Amino acid sequence: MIEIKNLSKSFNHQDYVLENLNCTIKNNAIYGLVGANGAGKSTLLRIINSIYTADNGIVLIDNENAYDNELLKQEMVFVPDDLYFYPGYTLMDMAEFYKALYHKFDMNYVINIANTLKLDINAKISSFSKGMKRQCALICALACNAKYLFFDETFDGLDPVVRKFFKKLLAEAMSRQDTTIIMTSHNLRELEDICDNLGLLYKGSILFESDIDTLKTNMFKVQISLKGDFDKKTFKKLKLLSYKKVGSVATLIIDEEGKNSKEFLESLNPIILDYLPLTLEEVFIYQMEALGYEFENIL
Amino acid sequence: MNLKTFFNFNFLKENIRKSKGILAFLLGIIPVINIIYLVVLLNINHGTLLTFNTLSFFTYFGILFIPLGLSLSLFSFIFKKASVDFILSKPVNRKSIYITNTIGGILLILLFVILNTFIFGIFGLLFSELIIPFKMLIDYFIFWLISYIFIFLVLNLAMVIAGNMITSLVISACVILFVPFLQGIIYLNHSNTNYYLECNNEYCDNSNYYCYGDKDCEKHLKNNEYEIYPDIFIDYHFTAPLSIANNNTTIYDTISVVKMLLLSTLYSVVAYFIFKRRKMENNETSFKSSFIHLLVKGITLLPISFIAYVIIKETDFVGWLIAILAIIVYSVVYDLITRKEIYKPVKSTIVSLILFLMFTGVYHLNFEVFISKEKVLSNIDKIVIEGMDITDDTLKKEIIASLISRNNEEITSSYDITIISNNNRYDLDVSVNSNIEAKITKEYLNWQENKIKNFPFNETNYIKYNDLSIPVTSKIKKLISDNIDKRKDFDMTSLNETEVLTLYSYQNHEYQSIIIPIKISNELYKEVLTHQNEEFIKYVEENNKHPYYTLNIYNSNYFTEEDAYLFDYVINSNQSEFIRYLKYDNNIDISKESIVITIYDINTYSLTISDASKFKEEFASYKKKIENEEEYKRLLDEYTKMNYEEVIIYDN
Repeated sequence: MIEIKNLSKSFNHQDYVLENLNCTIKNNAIYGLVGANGAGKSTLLRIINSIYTADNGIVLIDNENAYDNELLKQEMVFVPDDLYFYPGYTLMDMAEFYKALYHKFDMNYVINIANTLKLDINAKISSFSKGMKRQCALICALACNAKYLFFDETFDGLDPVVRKFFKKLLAEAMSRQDTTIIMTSHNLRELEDICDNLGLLYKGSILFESDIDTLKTNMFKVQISLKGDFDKKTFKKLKLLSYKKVGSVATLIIDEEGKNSKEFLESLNPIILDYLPLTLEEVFIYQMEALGYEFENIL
Repeated sequence: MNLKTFFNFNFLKENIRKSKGILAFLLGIIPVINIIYLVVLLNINHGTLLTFNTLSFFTYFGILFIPLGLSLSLFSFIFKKASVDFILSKPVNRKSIYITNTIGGILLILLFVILNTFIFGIFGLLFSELIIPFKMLIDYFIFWLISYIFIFLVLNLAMVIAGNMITSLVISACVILFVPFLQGIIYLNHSNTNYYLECNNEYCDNSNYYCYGDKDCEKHLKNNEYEIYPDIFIDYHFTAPLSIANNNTTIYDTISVVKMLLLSTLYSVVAYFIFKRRKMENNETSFKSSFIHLLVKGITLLPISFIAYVIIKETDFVGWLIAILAIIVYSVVYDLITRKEIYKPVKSTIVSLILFLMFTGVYHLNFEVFISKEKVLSNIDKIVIEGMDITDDTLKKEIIASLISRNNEEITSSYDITIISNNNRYDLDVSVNSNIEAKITKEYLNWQENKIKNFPFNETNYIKYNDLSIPVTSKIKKLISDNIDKRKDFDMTSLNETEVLTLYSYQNHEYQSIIIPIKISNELYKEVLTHQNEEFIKYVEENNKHPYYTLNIYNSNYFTEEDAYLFDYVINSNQSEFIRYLKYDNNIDISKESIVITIYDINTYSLTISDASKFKEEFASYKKKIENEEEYKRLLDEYTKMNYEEVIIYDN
């Protein structure tokens, strides 16, 4: 289990990238970390992996301080967004490098997966495409058989087929051992497919955490039209994340928070009442909008 | 305690593997060059006494680029975000990374120095022509191991402090050069001073000393102070890579070695703690802290300001203008190079200009205000001539008196002397009269005598006879030590270079040498001459071209000038008979009159023909054989004509 307690980090002693962040990530789950650009997702992963030092707070993994903990790091693999390979190295060379450092590294796994993906293990990685380079990094990471995997922009550059293949490999890794995966992505549809839990990072702290199913069943997009005139105040009993009215039809984004909105809306005798499911991307955007993040100014 | 928590062998192995090409080049280039150098030495010399400096020549050139290459291979990952992510996310903690890389680098340096030492040792063992004492190999090993490790650790420290490579090089330069720069400034201060020597002993004679109206001179003359023009030396004991600038005959300097050891320990501990706490997000820029950036830039302004100060001194207002512009440009360029941006241009420029003015002020105070324009040497602690301390107080006084004497008529000789006064060293030339020269010679002989008494004959590394290296066999060593007391029978001052042996022994990081008469033992003399003759014959036999034989030392009772003139042609025309004679009929017999034949090539080869009378007959037979040859006749005519012309010139 990963416990992050009161974590703070600033790069200039003034503006905090992470501020008093608290979060708990359970074992054997895929935790998706979302947030706007600069929210601190990558910084958080780097602190967990002891690349950066936190100004305050602590990261506990399996109840041990994770900072610079060599033993614990045997069970942690980090694949950053900006990949690095030693100049002139082949996939085999990289695998040997990992093997020298990770006790549980499985060389056969690398060879098998590389064969499946038709990656030449003896070709220089520098000659590979961006997607192939990411494949190499992911193969090496998975071959470590580590308990905790940290992926920053995991599937960036992978084609849909390879993406699906790696999702399968992640699922296999989780079923093989109690693997916990923490991944960030801007592509929320991707996280939607694979993640069990989601944490929204906003202004340096976790705004909300939820499992994906709860998140999606708690928020709805509702299109409604009432007899007579109505406005936002009509729905003041509900927690509206967004309200837009075009003509006589209003589109509401409702956060249920345990309440039954449908009962209330039906009591208004609507002409039209449609409940539409939200994609994770929409959930993310509306949550952010509710917090004052102005997408309209950007879009 | 688990050693693995400090040193991760796998991590080191992988680090070396990823840079194997560059490391192989770095660690291999100097040994290869050294091998080539030794082979060249073997081919051009028949006996080379290698000094510490000669042995260190190419190793010295690697002192910066090899540690730099190692340091970059092991630590430069901290300059790139991607490589920081890659390395620090691996199951190796910071303590282990630093210690593994540092020890790994030191081990590679150790390997490099061992390799070079081994090469020198093997060449010394295999080829008796190369004299490389074991003690010198130890010195080489210790000195260069510590020097390379020192530079490596300085570079490591600079790398963990700085955010990019350029800045780390700037910091390295600051760490290495800051103290020597200040010492250089102090030296310049000394060299701008006028020096006077106090001479008020009974031998001082200023009757020929004139001031020609110079007030300063007259003022000092009243106090018996006379102007001298010494070269001033300060005992710097610089650390590497400036050890070559230490004022010693050898680069090896024990104080420098101790300094480097202590500083290496300090730097590595400091670098360790900095690395453990290093903000790894601080890369691709000079420093996170603006203060430290400006501080380091300020230190680099020290030499820039000094150059500007020199310009200002010479050119007044225009100089100031140029200097200020140069400082502004430097300030901007420095920021662009180290931070890849014009960093806080106004603040940065103002700080640079303030520092420049401050440094200029300090230089002005140093060179113009606080400087003592005059220094009087009144306390002479020591006078050294060619490494010999003058112990005779009277002679000391006479030498001091000679330094101020302007009476050129009595001068018979001059010496390079060193005066030690208040721990400072002043080198001067002194011209002396025959009386003082004789005293110096006597003192020198006494000094040599003491040196001989204390000379470790069993540790003799090299014996030189007339530019020829004599094999240091146990037989020769025994002959010398058994007969050394007989040296007292010889007047050393009257012996020429063919009558003495010079013995060298590597002691206290330098060669100590003594001169002894070769004829202290007939057997020794015979051994030396036999070896000399063997070398001569070997050269003649192995040499493809015809050598030029010079009848060098001969008695006119046996050989005429005509013989000497024709000698080369006659011998070359009868070379096989001549070689046969040397091999079988030229047993050394020192009781008989001998002649010396010399060949001057890249090296000089001498031959002693033991029995001049016997060889006279041999030579006559050679001449007889070729007397009808055209070339012989032509040479004879040429000689006769030349001789005739000389007589006419003489008569006229």
